[in-house]
Amino acid sequence: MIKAVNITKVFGSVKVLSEVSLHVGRAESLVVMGPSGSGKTTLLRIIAGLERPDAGEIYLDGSLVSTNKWRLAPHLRNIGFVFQTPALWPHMTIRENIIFGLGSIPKRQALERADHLLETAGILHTANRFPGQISGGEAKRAAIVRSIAPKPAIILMDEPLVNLDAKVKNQLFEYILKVTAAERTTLVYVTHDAAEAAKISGNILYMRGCK
Amino acid sequence: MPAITCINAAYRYIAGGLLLFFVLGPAVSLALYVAAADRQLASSMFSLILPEARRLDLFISSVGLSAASAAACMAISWLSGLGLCMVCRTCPKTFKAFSIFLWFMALLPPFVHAFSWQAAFGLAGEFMSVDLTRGFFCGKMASWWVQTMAWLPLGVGVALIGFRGIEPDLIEAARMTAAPGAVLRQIVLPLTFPLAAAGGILVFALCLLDYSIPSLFQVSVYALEIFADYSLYNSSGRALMMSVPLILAGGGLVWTFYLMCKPVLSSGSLTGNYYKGQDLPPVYKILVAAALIILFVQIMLPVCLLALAASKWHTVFSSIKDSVAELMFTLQAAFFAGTAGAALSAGAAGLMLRGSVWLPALFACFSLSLPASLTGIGLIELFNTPLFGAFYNTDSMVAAAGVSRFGGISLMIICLHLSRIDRLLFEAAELLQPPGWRRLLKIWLPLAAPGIAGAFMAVFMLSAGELGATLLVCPPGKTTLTVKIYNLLHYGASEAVAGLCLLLIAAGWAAGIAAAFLSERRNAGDQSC
Repeated sequence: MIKAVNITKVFGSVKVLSEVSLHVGRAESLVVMGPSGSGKTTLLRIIAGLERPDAGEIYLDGSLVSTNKWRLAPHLRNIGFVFQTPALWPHMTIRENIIFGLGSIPKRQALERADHLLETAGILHTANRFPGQISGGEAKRAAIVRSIAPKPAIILMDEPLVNLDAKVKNQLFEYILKVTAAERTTLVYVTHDAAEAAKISGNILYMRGCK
Repeated sequence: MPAITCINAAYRYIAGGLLLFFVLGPAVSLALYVAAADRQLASSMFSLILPEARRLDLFISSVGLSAASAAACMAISWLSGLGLCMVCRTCPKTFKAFSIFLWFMALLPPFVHAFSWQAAFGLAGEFMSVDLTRGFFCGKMASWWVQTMAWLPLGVGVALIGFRGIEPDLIEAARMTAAPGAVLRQIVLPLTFPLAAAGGILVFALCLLDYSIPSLFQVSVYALEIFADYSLYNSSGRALMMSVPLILAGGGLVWTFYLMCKPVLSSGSLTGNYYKGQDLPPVYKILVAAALIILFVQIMLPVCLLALAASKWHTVFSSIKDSVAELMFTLQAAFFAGTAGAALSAGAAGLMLRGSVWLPALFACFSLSLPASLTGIGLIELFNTPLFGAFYNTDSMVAAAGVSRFGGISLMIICLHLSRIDRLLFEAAELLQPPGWRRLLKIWLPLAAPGIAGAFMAVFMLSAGELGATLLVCPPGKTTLTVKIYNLLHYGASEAVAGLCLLLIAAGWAAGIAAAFLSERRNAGDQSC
């Protein structure tokens, strides 16, 4: 499903990734761990198409989507991305944030899907509120709902549960596992937390010194 | 209590008091003049508050002209900002340096642009054998165009703050699910346009309060009417009452500008990444390219045309040589105004900055919303008294005009800078050092220095180009370079004026490039190109 071959990325004079390769099958999970600065986030951004690799190739479903000369636009990759921060658009309500990615389906169906997902996430009451009017935990939930709303084949999560208290963290973690299992979504999950990594049934990629 | 604490407290109160005196003094003295007038005179003056008949028409047409310039400036600014993000996407340093450079271009006196555009249309007319200055480029149309262009660097500078304040994650989250056009329309535009709109509102206020450009194109505006009325009746009270509609409109606009900028200015996001652009749909590409060309022309045109108008370098040098006295007087007055403005503001900031910057902002709005000529009239009213008579008709009046008009801006710059410094840096010093010179010189001053330097530069450059108040308070036998150029401009475009304008522009360019270079040095740790 996701195949990265010898990915290298350099920012200025700093080599962030050096010939990293990985393979994740359909509906499988991969946990990416490693110290700060080891290139975890950059790897995710390259898979998502937000960055172009300086060398190497990315394949999704067997199709070449990124090389050092060309890349498929991010929105055409059918990938969901959960950032470290919720990154909810402040000028839109929570419902509008979720509907934004559902442009390809009729508005009525998009509304129904958004409300259904918000309900399963337990934050339907925030639908008409703006991001500044909800709590941090609710914002993270909304960000996760936004990423899964378009039914992506792959979800990339970059430390989605940092800065949350233990209770909310556990609830959200269970929610992520439930949703990805139900939708048979391929999951790439970056974390520093060994306990979280152990709970995700899948392979673990440990990155050290940009490899 | 340690001596340094006493000195510090005394300095704050003295500096705060003096700044209040200079900024509020002119308006207060005019208000007292009206209050002291007899009942019949006061009632005739109060009747001037609401414009009627010709003055009402003039007020409406001034608002319309300013609004048209502001709207055009706002649209071009946003598109130029977007274009600059695209052009500089791989080089954040260039982006930041250019943003700083633009602020210095915005400080050039607007009538310099008027002169260069006059020269441009004159030359284009000669080339096409048509007198454009009697066709398209005259009257309100010319005034609208030149006002739009003159304030464009300011508009783009404010719009770029919006592009710098945007969180990259917000854009990237959208890019994951939508095509570039949708991302631009639904995410980038709503997130960045408020700052471009705020810039437009500021331009609206500045156009409304400025008469230098319209007067060069024989367009009568309300701000000029105040000056004309004072010249005719020599009544300070009438000038104040006539200014009320302008003060209310200008003050409201400037306060709206502050409220729109507040979320970005008070957050730390300005130092973060800027919007790095994306692939644009073809229509946007054309619009952005057009806006960038207009911005480029606006920056380069004055230099190229003035150099052409001056035609020979020896003419430039001789015009500069003939104006050495005015130049030295201008630099001297601007230096004193800048030093006093920064020093008083640094002290006053300690008093006024209490968690939020609303009080300094109110102060800045007040000083910005006073028409320049009213500040000049107020200064005459304030200093032409037995108490301050020793200062009246002296060189210090020109420096006082600079502090009065731009003291609020310098206070705002320092307060904004101080409010953005992490409090922990000061608190850590408090834990490690007792109050004293060492803490002041080693911690407070280096942290506050960029703000103080910025305040000095802003007041220095704005005072050097100040016209409305300076025109009224210049001592006999002396004049500033700006006043000299403005007077010469009414005799038509000449090589001498071109040379002097070129000098002003060169000073602006030099200051802008130096500031951009220093900023780059300071941010040497940032991401490199």
